[in-house]
Amino acid sequence: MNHLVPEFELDVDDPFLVSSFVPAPHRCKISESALAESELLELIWRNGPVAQPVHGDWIRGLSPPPPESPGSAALSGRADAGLVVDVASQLFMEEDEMASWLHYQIGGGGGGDLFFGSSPQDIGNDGRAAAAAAAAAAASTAAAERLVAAPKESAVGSNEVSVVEVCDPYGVGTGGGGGSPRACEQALSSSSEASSERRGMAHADERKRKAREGGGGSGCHSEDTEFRTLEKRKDARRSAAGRRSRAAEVHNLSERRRRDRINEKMKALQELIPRCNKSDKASMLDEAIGYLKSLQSQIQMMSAGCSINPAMFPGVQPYMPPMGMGMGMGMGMGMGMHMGMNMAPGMTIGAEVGGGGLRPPMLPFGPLLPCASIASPARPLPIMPSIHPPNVVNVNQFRVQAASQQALASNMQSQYMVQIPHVGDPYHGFVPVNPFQVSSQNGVVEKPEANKQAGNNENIPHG
Amino acid sequence: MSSRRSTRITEEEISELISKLQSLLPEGRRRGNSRMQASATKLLKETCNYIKSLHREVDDLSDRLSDLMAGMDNDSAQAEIIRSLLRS
Repeated sequence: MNHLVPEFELDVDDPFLVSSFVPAPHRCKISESALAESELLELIWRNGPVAQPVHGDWIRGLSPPPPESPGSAALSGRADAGLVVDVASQLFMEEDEMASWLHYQIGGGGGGDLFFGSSPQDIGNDGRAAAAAAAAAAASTAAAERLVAAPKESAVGSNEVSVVEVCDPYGVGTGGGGGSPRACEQALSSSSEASSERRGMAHADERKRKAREGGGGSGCHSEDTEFRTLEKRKDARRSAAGRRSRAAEVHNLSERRRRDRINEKMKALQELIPRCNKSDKASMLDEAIGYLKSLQSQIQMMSAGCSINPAMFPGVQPYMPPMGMGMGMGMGMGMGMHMGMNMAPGMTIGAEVGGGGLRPPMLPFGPLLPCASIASPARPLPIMPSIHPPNVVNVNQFRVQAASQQALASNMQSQYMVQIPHVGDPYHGFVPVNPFQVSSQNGVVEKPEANKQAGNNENIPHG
Repeated sequence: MSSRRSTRITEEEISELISKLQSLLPEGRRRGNSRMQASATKLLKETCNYIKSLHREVDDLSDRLSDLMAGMDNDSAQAEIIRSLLRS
């Protein structure tokens, strides 16, 4: 160990540092490395069961360094880590394989006390490191490094992994250089920072070493820096790209799922709509809208018709469905115009009757009033009769009906008839109904029910 | 390009239709049409449900009307009306 003492002064904070310090310029010494390796071996061995004798020329030559050096004593603690680090750096300078192995070793640390101080991972890594070292020794080429690197990469340890990753490229990519040790050190330092004080110390030591080494090889130094940054960037890019691609995949999947759901609903809608032979979304939506409107008016008509016979429904209360609230306002407005014109005679009644809660200006027969929508306040029944006047029918004319409004005016029945053929190709049952008329008891009884139903239906999905 | 244009037009149409549909649906649009979250899926689902409920209502009304019919003279105008209603 002594011969490993660096030329320059090391912070002798850690004995092991001193001992394991590798003077940059003098790194290329097998013996030194051997020693370092032996120390490493020792570390491995110390670390526990994981320890395996590394086979290799450089290893054989090693013998567990006697605790002579102050560092050896401290090897157990940070010393090990430091040793490892130092050795690693040494090795790096000299042999790539060893460096890579060391990388692993460093990453693997050895025991909790090791460099990374962390944990069982270290032990596991030690084993791996040992194997890696063996492999490295055996191969003695960049290939070996890669080999070693491979298992390392699979290592799980967080710190270690990062270290390995960082170091690995160096080991694999660099044939030589100070870059690897630098990278390793950096990784180590970063990991050590994350971990514990001890690590921090080792870390500091490493940094010092780095500085020294950097001084030793200026050219290498710059390369190292580049490598380091490159490594960092690569890692970041890798993870970012991975993340991004994964996010994009996830997004695509969710998009597909959403589209599938929508298509499924469209199919269901198509089934509901009678005589809908369109597969185009827009036209289907169009038909759905028209069908919905016709259904609403039909219901209004029917309920109006029901309420025509008050006898049947005791307590028929004049009930006028609220004017197309805001809903049908827009659409109803146009209708209202027509209606206003046609319904004038009949409408006025309703309008006035319903004047209470209704807004006369609104189409009293909000064509678009969803019958099931709102339980309107009771309205005078007289409105019901308005169903008879042909005008009433016009009220609910939608665009299709507009044309038939005149026809409707002629005769109620004929209106219906007329409307039916008009509207009703698809919605033969469509019968414009005066929304107000729908009121009556039906409105009172049913609208609220329908309302509830609709409300429930709507609420359920929302809920 | 033309396809894009046609797609865009279709998109507009669809959004317009969706808004129309939304206005038809008896959802609780109390806060002045604040329900801007017109998720197409939800809208379609609501439409389906609404149509189903309207169907039920129509059936129910038809039953009532037919009951009504039973209780009145078949020759009366009312009966006629009801019949026409039922026919639809």
